[in-house]
Amino acid sequence: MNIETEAKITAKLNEIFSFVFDDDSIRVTRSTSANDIEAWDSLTHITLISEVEDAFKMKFFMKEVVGMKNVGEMMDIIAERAKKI
Amino acid sequence: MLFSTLFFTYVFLPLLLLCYWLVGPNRQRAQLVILMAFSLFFYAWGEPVYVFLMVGLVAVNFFFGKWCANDGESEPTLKKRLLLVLDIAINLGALGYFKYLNFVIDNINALFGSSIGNISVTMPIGISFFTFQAMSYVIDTYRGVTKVQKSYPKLLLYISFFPQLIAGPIVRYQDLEEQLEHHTWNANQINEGVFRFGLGLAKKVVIADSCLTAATKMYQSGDSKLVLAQWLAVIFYALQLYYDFSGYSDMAIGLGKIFGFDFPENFNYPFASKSVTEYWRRWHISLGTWFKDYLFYPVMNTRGIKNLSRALMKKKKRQAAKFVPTIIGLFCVWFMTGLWHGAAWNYIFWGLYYFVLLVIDLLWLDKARKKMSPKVESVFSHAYFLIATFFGMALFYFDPTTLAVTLKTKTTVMQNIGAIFGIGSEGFATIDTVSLLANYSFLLIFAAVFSLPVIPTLWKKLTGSGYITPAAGRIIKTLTALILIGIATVRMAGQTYSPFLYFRF
Repeated sequence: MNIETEAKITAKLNEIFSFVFDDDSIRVTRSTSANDIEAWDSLTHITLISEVEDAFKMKFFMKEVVGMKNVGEMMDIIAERAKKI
Repeated sequence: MLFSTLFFTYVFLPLLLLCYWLVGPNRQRAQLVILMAFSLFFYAWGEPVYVFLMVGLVAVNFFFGKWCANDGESEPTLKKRLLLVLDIAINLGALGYFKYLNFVIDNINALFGSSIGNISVTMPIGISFFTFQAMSYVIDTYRGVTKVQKSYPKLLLYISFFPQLIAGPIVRYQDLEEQLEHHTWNANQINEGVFRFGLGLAKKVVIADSCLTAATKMYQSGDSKLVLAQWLAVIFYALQLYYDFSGYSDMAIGLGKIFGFDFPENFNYPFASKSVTEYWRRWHISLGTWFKDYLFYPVMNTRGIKNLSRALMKKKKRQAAKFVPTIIGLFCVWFMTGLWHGAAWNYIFWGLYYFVLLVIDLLWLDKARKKMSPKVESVFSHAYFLIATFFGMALFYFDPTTLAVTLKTKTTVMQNIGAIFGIGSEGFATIDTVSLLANYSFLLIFAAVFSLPVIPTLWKKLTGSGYITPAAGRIIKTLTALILIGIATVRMAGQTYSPFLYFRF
């Protein structure tokens, strides 16, 4: 993934994370995980996934939904599969 | 067979350990065979016929696991999807037949005035647990989360492994997958396992059973029409349920360790929670994560829910788009969680009660708490959580089928719940209630204090500061385990049959 693509994905993810977790100050990095965001639990996780899928016009496999460890993994999947960045 | 019996503790377990030790850690496959044989005997001891049902169901899931397996990096074919649906239908069909058919018949009769007769069937012990484990295995192979198990005996051992077979924790296949290939069996693990087993045994036999006696006496005091007696009955029942079920889980985890297997934790001091949401992350963790992964996520992933969310977004209702799908998902999970606990309406109402509380947390309370000062927030959160939880326990406790026998007059769930709020009650308390409270006050304080993480906090401080060295820690744990098992043995010797509460689920 080149720097420009990563910056675009990060900007969009910041918007989505801010909306889902009700916190405008959120800035994600590749290492951001559920441990860093208090409101990121099993309920909000699936809302987050749906929002990301809609924003990037793509779909995560269930294996990824239940197994994603951090934002970096999410970004890699988005970069590989997104129809719109 | 119950863990809390002399036969299990002093015959079954030592005999199994002896065989396991004779085979030795270098012959792991032979050790697995021994575990499987003893596990089947353990189940057949109570269910001589249904053991064949379990073995058969595992065989069915063994083949479906192969047929449904996918790599997780491509969409499963329609054939695999249909096979998965069929496998789930078979498992739920078995569960439905044995656990829910008479409940459905009763409701049809009540609704339409028909007189369809009930079927004569007893529920196989642990069917709610082992069908859920079997489904999790097949769904995980379908999702590509786990590899297919090529050995039927290993899959059979995963499902039938006696510590977790009949009342959980609902161990996921991925938790045992590697351990079935290689397990570590050493003195440290055995020591740790014996400690957990002793702790669990004492929790069940000493504390939970005493709390049951206290709850029953309180409930009978004033024929269930005294406000204080009703509240105390519910509080003792809540403590009983916690010590009974978490004690069972401790024993299961301990037994796993004794044979070199690590199971996931099932409880994390739930009464220390500050919200209902947190409580359900700490109570029966394995059931909560099961419903999250295999019901909540799939429901949220359905086309209907996604379209609903998109439609709301188009109408610029962003908050609704965020929360409505979650609320629908929560409703499905909590309706099913209630139903999973028993084929009776009070369990369904209990599930829906928690659904309402979780929605309140999601929409309002979480935000309101953030605006409070830390001290106010702490007091408010704990008070709200405890009252809400004890009321939830009341719905669980006032199960007419189990309580009707303890009273001279029959009461309904609603009458009982009314009485705890003073509706239809005959006063607050009598001298008998106060005297009962005095008799059981030590038990109440002891059980309440140790339901909070007092010991782990203390232990961490003592070991962390070097007061207790690792070697001394092991000796303390061994001695404590022996004392606890000794005390429990005395209780077991003088006790009548006292099954674990979660056996009936």
